[in-house]
This record gives sequence, structure tokens and C-alpha cells, in this order.
Amino acid sequence: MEPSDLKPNSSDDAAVETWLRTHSALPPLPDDGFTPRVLTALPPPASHTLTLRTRICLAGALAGAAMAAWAVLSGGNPLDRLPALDAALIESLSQLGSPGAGLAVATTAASLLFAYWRDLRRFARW
Amino acid sequence: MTDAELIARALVSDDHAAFGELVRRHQSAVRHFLRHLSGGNAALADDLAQETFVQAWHGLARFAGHSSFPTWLLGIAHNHWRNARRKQRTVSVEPEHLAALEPEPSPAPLSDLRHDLEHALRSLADDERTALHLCYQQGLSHTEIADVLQWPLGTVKTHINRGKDKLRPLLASWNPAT
Repeated sequence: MEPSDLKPNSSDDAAVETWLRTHSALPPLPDDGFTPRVLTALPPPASHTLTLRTRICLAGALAGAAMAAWAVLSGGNPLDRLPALDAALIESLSQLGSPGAGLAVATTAASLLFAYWRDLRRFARW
Repeated sequence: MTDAELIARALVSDDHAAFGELVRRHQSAVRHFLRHLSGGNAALADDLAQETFVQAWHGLARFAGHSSFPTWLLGIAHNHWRNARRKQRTVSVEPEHLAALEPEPSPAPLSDLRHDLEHALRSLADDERTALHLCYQQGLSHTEIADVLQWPLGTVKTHINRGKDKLRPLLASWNPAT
């Protein structure tokens, strides 16, 4: 057991606390170009314009829609062809029930999800 | 704008300007800490500080807000310093070698007490000096210090108390009560 006269008293503790709080304070360091150097080392900002793959997908979708529209419109009155389209559409959709077609659709969906995962996460945060 | 708002902008919009504002706000604390760890080597400290902020950018999505952003940054800085020391890019300067380092220029002459305090702090063990630096010069709580240094809370308190116990007799001449 320590002799009581060797134990620190409260005034000593208070003095050390005061010295440390008052006299060890650090002046703020000037930036001196530090922040620009950090920003230069970062990867470039993601482009907010459409990426190449997005443009390709959109172009394909538009081209497909245009071809479908041309097929409909080139065959006379498009309204006359609606029942045929209906039947053709129903027949096409029924093909999705086959395992091969289902697998193809699932593969397409998974690849699109993988390709656009970062974009989807970014939009989800909004 | 608060740190949380800047972090959100940097994350969601890939906003480099927002991250730049975070860097400007916290670069002084991080660089001071790394200068303390590297024994006053400003060039090494700034290199490690730059790596700290770049890693913070890449890991911003993992900052869950359990600690404050400055505390999180100081933890990354401490890890970078430990890795650098492990790679032997530098060695933590022992107290007896500190005198050989050129002191940083001070804008004003140091008071005698401050000079004696700095000299007394250099005589402490590395862990004690680091704990006191984070507590009194960076203003962190004991819990935050434990987060930064990955020490148990009891170890933080022990190092701080031991450091203060050692300082007491070294600065006794400045205590008006003695």
C-alpha cells in the first residue's frame, strides 16, 4: 500500500489537467494544397451521361420497336392486323413456358442486372 | 453543411467537391496525428494522410456512423501508420532520438511551460504519449480513443493515467500549490 503522502492530491491532478488542456493545444495546419492533391489521387468522377452499354441497349430497343412498327404499318391498315398481333403475341408468350425460353429470359435478366448493378444501387439511394 | 450531408452527397452523387470539403475540415487533425505518430516527420505524415483520405473515399459506403467521422478517419490513419511501420518505411522515433529532429517552426515563441510540457511529453512511452495526444490535443473521449487505437477502454485509461502520473513530478515546479 502506498504511503498516503505519496499519493497524488487533487490539486496536482487539476494542475496537470489544466496544463495539458491549455498548453498542449495544436494550431490548425494550413491546407497548403493538401486537399487538391487528395482529390487528384481519387478515381475520376463517374460520368453522368449515358454509358456506352446503355446507349447500345437503348439503340437495340429502339431499333426493335421501329422494326416492329414497320412490320405492322407496312401491312396496310394496322388496326386490321391487331387481332393477328394478339394471336401472335399470345403464341409468343406461351413459348416462354418452355424451359429453354425461360432460361434465356432469366439469363438475359441476370446479365442486365449484373451490368447495371452499380447504377441501380446509386438510384436506389435517392 | 454537416459532415453527414457531405458524406451523403459524396456517396450518392460521386461528388468530389463534397468530399473535398470533408478533407479540408479534417486534414489538420489527421496530419497532426500522423506527425505525432511519425515523430515529427511531416513529409511521411502527409503521404500517409493522403493515403488515409483516399482509402476513406473508397470505403465511404462502409462508414456506418457508429463513430464520428473524424474518429473513423483517425482509425484509418492509425492503421496506415502501423502498416507503414511494418513495411519499415519508417520507424517510430524513440523519445531519446526526438531531440535530433528539426522542430517544426512555430509562429510564436513557446512559453516556458509549454516548452517544458513538450519536453516532458517526449519522455513518456509511445502509447502513453499517443493516448494523451488523442485525449488532450485532439479532444477525443476515452471511448473514441479506444476505437481509433483498437485498445480496450481500460488500457486507454491506464495509459492516460500513467502518462499524467509521470508528468506530475516533471512539471512540479510549475504547480503553484507545491
